[in-house]
Amino acid sequence: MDRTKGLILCSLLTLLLILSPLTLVAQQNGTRDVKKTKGEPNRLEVSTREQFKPRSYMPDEGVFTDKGNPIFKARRDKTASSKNRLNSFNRLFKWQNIKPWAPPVEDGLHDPSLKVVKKELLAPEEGMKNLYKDKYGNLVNWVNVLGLPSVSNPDLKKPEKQINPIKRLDKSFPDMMVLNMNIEIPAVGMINNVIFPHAGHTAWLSCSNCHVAQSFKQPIFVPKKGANPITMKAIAKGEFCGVCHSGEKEKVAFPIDDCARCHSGPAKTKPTPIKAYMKR
Amino acid sequence: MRRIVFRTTIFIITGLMFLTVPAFVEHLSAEYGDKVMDNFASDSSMRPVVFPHWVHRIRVRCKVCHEDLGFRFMLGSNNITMKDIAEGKYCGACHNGKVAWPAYYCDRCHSGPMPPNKPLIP
Repeated sequence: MDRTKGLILCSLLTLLLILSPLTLVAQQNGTRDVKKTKGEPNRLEVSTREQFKPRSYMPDEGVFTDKGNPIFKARRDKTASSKNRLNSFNRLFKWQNIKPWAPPVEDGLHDPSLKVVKKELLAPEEGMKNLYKDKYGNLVNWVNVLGLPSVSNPDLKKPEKQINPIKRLDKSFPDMMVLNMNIEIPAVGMINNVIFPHAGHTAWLSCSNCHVAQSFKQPIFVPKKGANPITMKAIAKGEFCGVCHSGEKEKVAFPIDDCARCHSGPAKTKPTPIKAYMKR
Repeated sequence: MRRIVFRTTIFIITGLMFLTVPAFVEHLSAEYGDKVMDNFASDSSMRPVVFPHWVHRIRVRCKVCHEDLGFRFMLGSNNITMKDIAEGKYCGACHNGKVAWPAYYCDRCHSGPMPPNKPLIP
């Protein structure tokens, strides 16, 4: 037994010495890993000929399969430490591990050796410090900032307009007014229904962003009641609401951390069955 | 024989323990909404582009870029070349010196991390 103990000790020591630089390499790979913020495809595996193929079509799901090494796949899945993760009951809800309002030098993405990154790039704190606050995403409530009341912040009835972003570049497109229409989307089960406010969305976006198809794909939302089979799984994967609010590739607006922010309808007395509204 | 099996399993288990340590390493990745665009950049040994949404959101509405200028929502589906920018398409519609700064400040956009197997020719 002494010999085995000795062998175990020796193997542990050799592994410590030989494999410890690997952890450093992995960390560096993490900060240089373009895949994580960009999402799939795995560009290292696509041949150079294919990379220069003009991508005028919408790539279908086959391009974005995860062909990585199982160890790095595990690392990709653990994008947030468990103590920071909300809604950890569903493995499809993946959170980016982001330090909010980190200056560009320290944010792990910009190359800190560049002079521009150190001196010229605007820090989020400088740019967004006086705007109406929020708890998620960019930590700014982008609807209140335009002077509109938002469903998520009902106490603020008359926010003042803090920024004045450009409305249109091409004058031939009509400048759509803000559309005040709320859509109630039934949610399966006991959770409150979703009340979708067009007001905040149309101030920023135009109708064609969601309701007109790009190339040969379907539009994000078909403008017909019952024609969109929206599920939380689809949203978490980046379809429907997840095109902007969720999904690993596309998240730009506030994330789906807070259920009540969207599920803001009245409380239910009995659960909604699945087939009540969804055409499958 | 049993001793050999025992020792090799211990060796393998300790080896796997060290190999899974990188699995739990966290790292930062930019401000919320920053997108890294690398359709052509790293093949030309330029750093990939880091596009910050928040800087643009305080100055432009979503519909201007995503409807008027033709940017698509899917990351990687916009083939933007410096030629397009010089002609005034995509980013060049504003970054031409008139609406915003001109596009010859390369490092302001091309400040992302290089992929590991592509060299950056200084």
